[in-house]
Amino acid sequence: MKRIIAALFLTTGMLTTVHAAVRGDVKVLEAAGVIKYRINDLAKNYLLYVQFPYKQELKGVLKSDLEALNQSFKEIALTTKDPKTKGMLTFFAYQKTRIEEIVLSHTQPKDTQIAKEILDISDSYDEGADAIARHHQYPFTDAEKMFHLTRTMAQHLQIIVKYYLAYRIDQKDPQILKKLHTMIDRFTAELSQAQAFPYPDPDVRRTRERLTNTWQVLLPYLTSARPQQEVPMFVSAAATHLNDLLTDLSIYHSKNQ
Amino acid sequence: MKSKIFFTLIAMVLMGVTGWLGYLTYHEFDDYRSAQTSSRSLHEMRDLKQMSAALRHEQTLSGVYRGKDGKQFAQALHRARAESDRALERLLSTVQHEGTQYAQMLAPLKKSLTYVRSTVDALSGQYANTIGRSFDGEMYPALLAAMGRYSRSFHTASLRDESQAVTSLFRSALALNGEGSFLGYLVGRTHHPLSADDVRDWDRLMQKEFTPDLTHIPDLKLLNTLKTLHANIQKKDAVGRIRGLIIEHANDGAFPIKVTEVTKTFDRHTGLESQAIEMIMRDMVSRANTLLTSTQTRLIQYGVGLVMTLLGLLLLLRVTSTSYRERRALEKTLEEMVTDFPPEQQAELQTILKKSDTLAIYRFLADTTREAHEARAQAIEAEKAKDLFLANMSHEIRTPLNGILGFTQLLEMSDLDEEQQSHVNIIQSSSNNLLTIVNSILDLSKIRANKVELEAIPFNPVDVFGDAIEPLEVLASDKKIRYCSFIDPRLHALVGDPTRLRQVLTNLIGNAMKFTRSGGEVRVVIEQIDEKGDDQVHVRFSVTDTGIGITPEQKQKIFDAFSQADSSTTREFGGTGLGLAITSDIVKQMGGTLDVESELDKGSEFFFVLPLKKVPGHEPFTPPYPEKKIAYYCSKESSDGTCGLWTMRYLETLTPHATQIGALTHDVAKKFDIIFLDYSLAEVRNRIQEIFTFDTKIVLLGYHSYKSEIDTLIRDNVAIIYRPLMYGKMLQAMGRFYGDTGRTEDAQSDREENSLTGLRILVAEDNTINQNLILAVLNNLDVDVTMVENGKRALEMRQKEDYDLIFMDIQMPVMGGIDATKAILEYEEREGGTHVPIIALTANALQGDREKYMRVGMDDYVSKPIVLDEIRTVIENHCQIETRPMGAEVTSVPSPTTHADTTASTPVVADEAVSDPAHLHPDTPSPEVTVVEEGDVLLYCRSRLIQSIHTRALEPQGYAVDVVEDEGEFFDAFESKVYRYVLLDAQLIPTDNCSLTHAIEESGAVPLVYALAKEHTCYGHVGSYAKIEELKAILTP
Repeated sequence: MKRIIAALFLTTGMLTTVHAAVRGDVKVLEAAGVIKYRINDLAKNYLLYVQFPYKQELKGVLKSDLEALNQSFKEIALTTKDPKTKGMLTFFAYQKTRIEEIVLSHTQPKDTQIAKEILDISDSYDEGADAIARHHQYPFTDAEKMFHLTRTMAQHLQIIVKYYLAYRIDQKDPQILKKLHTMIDRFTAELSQAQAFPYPDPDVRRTRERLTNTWQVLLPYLTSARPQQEVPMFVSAAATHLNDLLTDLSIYHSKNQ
Repeated sequence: MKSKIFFTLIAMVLMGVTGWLGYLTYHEFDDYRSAQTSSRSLHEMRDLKQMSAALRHEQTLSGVYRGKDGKQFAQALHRARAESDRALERLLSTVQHEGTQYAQMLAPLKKSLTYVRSTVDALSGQYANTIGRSFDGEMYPALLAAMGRYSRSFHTASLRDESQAVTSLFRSALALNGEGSFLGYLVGRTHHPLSADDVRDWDRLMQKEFTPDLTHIPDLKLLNTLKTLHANIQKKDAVGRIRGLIIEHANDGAFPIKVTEVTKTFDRHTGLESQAIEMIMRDMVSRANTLLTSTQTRLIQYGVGLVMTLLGLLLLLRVTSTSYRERRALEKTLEEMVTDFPPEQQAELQTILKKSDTLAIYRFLADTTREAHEARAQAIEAEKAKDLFLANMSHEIRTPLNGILGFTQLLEMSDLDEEQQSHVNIIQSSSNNLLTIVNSILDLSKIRANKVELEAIPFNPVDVFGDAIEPLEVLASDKKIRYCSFIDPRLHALVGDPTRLRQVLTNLIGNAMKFTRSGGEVRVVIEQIDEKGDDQVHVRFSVTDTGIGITPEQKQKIFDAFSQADSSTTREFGGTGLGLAITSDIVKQMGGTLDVESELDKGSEFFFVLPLKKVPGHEPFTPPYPEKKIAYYCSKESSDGTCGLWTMRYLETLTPHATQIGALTHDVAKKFDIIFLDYSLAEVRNRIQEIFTFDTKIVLLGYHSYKSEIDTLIRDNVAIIYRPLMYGKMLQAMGRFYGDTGRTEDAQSDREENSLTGLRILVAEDNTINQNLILAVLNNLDVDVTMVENGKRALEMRQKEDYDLIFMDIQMPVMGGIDATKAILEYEEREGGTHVPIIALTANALQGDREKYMRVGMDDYVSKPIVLDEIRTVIENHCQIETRPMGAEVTSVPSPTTHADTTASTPVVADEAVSDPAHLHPDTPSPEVTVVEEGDVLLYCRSRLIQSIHTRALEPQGYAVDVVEDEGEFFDAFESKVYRYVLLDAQLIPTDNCSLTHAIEESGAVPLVYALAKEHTCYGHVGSYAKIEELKAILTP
């Protein structure tokens, strides 16, 4: 629920902070952020589904992720005038068909090849979303930047869980581990940025503190190389909790820009 | 054939239907059993659910209790354990009925519970190794396995889908409860950071969790109802929050939540799942019950249908089988009978049998039966016609014969010269022969038609057999044949048909005489050969001759009717050949078999044995002269042949001292009391005078051929017996010397001649010849005769006059004898007059005729040709007449009679003063009575009807009834006879005066008063009666 609210908030919040002239860029930026969040969430959920196929509720989440992706594609398509962005959307559309095929099929999902395929697609979606963002640069204020940071942290958190889960499935691929570590570092750096921000609200500070605590609980499990220490559900639950705390911060920042 | 095909088709259809219904019934039964199993499974699933709930609760409390190191939640845990125990007990008792498999599945529960409780109580071990392992690792899998098995036991898809949903919910709830219990334990461990193992254990628990898929529930209504619940089950925000808070403080253990919050959050979720389980199970129960009911109904319907079709099939098979069997039996029977049918019918029948056409068979049988019926009817008609012909023939032939014989008798009685006598003899002989032939033909016909009924009456065998043997001595004498007989004196009165026995003997002896030449011998032996108990004897009859003999081939034929040994026999000896056939048939009817032993030219013996009943009450035979010494002289040159042997047999019956002597001298003779001599011996004849001088008594045995000589030899010490020798004759001879000591009934009693003068007799006869004959006969008897020519005239005369007797011919014109008899009886009853005996006079001699005449009311029967003696006897039997025995000075009154009653009347010598009726009737001078007759019953009554009633009732009982209508007649009768009973009409005697009844008593009679009411003062000492039955009872001794 909180995620939905967060997603909605992100969508609407960003829009309200955008200047009239570059409202479209903001929209696109926001949509690109949603794409990034959703694709990684989809990839994460799919990787969970592959490992725990009896958790049929994940199928519903996957479907909602897909719908959100579609919505974002529409947003961008309607807003952007950038041909490269449009080209990117075409690429996204082509990839989305495949995603739909995988997600909506009735076949046994326990297929590592397909899992790898989803991973690749999500990576390409990341790059694409980044490219779109680059093409629609916007000079955010500090407050806006914090808001954007919290959103980015949420995205990166999804990517971290994605790679963590992917590595559980395909431990022969060192690239995944590398990407995981890269993302962990990035998130840690971003967390530092958040820690450095002088939140005047003690509740917000408390939230930040909780965020830090949770990350510190989670971090050792993310970096542990021992298979017996693999705790996917714990990581997922922790990531969900971190996401909730990030949403609280985002809400604060969206109100205080 | 068509019916066979039809039945086969029906049978096949029925079999098909039966098979189909059987299949349906089997499957429905299977479904029913499955429905029953489903119902049972659902019931047990409920117990599983309750067990699960109890275990979840215990697990949660075990976790928090353990987390709190036993410092809290002890009571709650205790209660939870008790609940678990109860649930387990219930569950185990339920699954025991299911068999061992479920019991085996759930066996770990008890063991695991015991273990986990002990570890929890001991606060020992890690959560994962104790609570986690016991509940999540052992007990929950056992429950889920059992649940899964139950789910698979459902045969219907809908129940299976729902049960899978239930199992899914079960699993989800158990998994969630496992995490909740663990988190409760973690949170309960205050300030205890999560270790890596805790995180790992927690992760494993979270891995087990899932949201159950309820989309496969078939019932849309239920699905809609569960949607909200399902949505709530899916939403785990509260759970996520708990998780987040615990993760957040995983490193320091300072969890900002309470244990109860943790347990409540998780309980709320598992409660939702329990709710969903309950809803689904309720639907399942309803569905199962509906299924059970519907399958039960269908099972009953199919079952009944199956039974009905089976019964129908069985019935059809039975009917077909029976029909087929019957048809085969019918065909087989007809095949066996084919040869019995005429050739043209045989061909037809064989054709029908080949076709196996049942209808044609029945038609053939119907036609054959009808033809047989018609043939039988024709045969019966032919038989009736033959009988009628015989009856008519009998009547038509006998009637003129009757005339011939009767008038011949009359002619014989007149004065005839020798030549005329000779002519009359010839006529009589010829007529008798003709009558014999007619009777033989009639007899044979009657016997062959089983129309002869043998009598079963007591008779004296010595008399009856003697009557048959004696007369034929004339024939023997004429042909100079030695003729002897032996009738066993031990034979007392027997029961049988004396007439037929006489007929048989006469025939056999006559044949023997006929076929024996001069100088030969005919011997008749009748002896008792054994006794069977006290009431039956076997008597052997044998007639032996030294005649022409019979070959074995001829023996076959002689018993056939109209057949003699050969034609030469007929030419030489004559005869019709009927006699032996008739004799053989009669003997057969009597229970014996006529047989013959013979040698050609040597002679024959015809013999048979009859079982005859003895008349009881006779003393055993004893020799009448036991002390007398009797000798039989038989010289060496005796020409007595075998007759001598039988003579000795007879003598041995007189005394045990009978001896045969071969020499006869004075000295020898002195030794004996009596000597029997055969006069036919020449030596005897020559020495007779000398023999007469011997000091002994002599009995001469002689043939009638020596009669003229023998008659001159009568002396005081000589008795004569003419052969054939009879026991009675011997007794008579002995009695001449020693008096009558033996059986007097064998003595020839002199016939008493009764005077019939003055009797009035009415004769109804249409035939003139017979009229003249009867008239002549009756005139000889000195009776008054009135002759009429038909029954109507007889009735008229009866109505006009009183008669003593009526002879009624049967076949007459205008009105026959039977109709006339009925009319006369009606008249007598109407008028109350005295009944006049009516005697049938007829030539009809067929079986049943006599009984017919008696039934219509006739009193007796005389057959034509009329025999004078028989006429006299009948008149004497039926009329009240005086008897005057020769030489006797007494009067006798014959007792009331039936036909052929030969009871002699009993002479009574009465006292002079046996009755003195002067005081009864003072005006009447006392007659001087020196001889008083005896009477049976005197009836004093004026009413003709009452007179008739009494007479008809008493006379058949053997009582002679004298009827008087007034005082004068009463006293006359009373004074003239001594009565045994005097019956008085109460209305005719004074009610207050008993002097009459006293006088009757003094006379020796029994007075009886006929009164409807007991009003007479003399009652008390006088018997009375109101009904004739009462009177009969009084008179019956």
